[in-house]
Amino acid sequence: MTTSQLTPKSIAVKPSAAVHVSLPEYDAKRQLGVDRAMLHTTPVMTRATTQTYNSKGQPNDKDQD
Amino acid sequence: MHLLISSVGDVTSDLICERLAEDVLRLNWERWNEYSIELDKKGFRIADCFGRVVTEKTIGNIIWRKPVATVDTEPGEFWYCFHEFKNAVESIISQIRLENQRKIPIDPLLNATADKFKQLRVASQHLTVPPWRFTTTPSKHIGTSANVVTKSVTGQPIPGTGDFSKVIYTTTVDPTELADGFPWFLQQEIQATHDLTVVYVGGQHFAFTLDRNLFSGMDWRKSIGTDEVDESWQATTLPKELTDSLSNIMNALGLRFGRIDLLAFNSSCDDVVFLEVNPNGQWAWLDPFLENGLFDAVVDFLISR
Repeated sequence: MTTSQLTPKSIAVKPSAAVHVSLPEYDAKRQLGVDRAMLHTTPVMTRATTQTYNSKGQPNDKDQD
Repeated sequence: MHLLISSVGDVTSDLICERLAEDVLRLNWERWNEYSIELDKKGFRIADCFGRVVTEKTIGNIIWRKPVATVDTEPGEFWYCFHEFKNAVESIISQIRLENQRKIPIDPLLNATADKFKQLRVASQHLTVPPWRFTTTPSKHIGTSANVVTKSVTGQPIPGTGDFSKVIYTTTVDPTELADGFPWFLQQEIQATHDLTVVYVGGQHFAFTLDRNLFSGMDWRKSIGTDEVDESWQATTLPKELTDSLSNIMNALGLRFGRIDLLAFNSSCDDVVFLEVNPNGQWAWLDPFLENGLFDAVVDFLISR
């Protein structure tokens, strides 16, 4: 036996934001002018951002991200 | 009408829904109570608050996204109802799988294809695979390989390690410091110049490289959210010999879709090692502006008959 000490928890790290909610995708979607009502998620606060939308699917002025 | 199973925070699903417009009913797990569902021995009916309806007669494909949102972690009536609802939906999916498996182009429940060890065994017949070992007694193998990384087989988070439970990315370790009695997946450390990820879509290969000088450590995922990584994946064309090998691996695994991770020793990708396949891997970030053909190919695949 050795004096080993590292367990899985010892080397675990806080996860990065999942790539499926990463900002590049989100920015692309904003540029496309997506109508949030069509996305079935109106209004929504995603993990990628706290940007919210009005009833017309337009981003509210204040991006809280 | 296609049925897309996801959660509200899944931006990839947002993009897919925008493309499919009126041909998709999106079911967000955490908003289960905004849908109506009927299920009996004859069939099923799911309706959303927009008036979209899918039944056993009208359903197209099931687009089953990986994320399942946490639904009220406090046990109670809402938690109970969600799991009753989810069980019924999964039963519907099971029945569709039984009748026509191709209606679920990417099926997260086909766990056999996610068997990493099987992948490594199969891949070694076609490509170089770094030596690996799964062990609960790393002390027995000290000295067998000087440079070792450890990684998670399942990607599961470790509960109780913070608000966002910690995970294990690929990490260089000194095997003499690993405790016996714990499960360790160990693999020879590879000093490569590029990460190479290939989205395999029904026989097509969409390849992207990332210069490993742009981030520190062994695992690019630790640097997600930095411009150096997020904006630096480069589309590339693979040598035919490599695409043939990848196709052979996917065929041997019975996979029509997956994101294959490799390491490359140069930007032309004529010298690579295989790491793994994720049968339901994320892919949309590689085509964020819908311009290199990947997004179109995946959507076509998801709705193909």
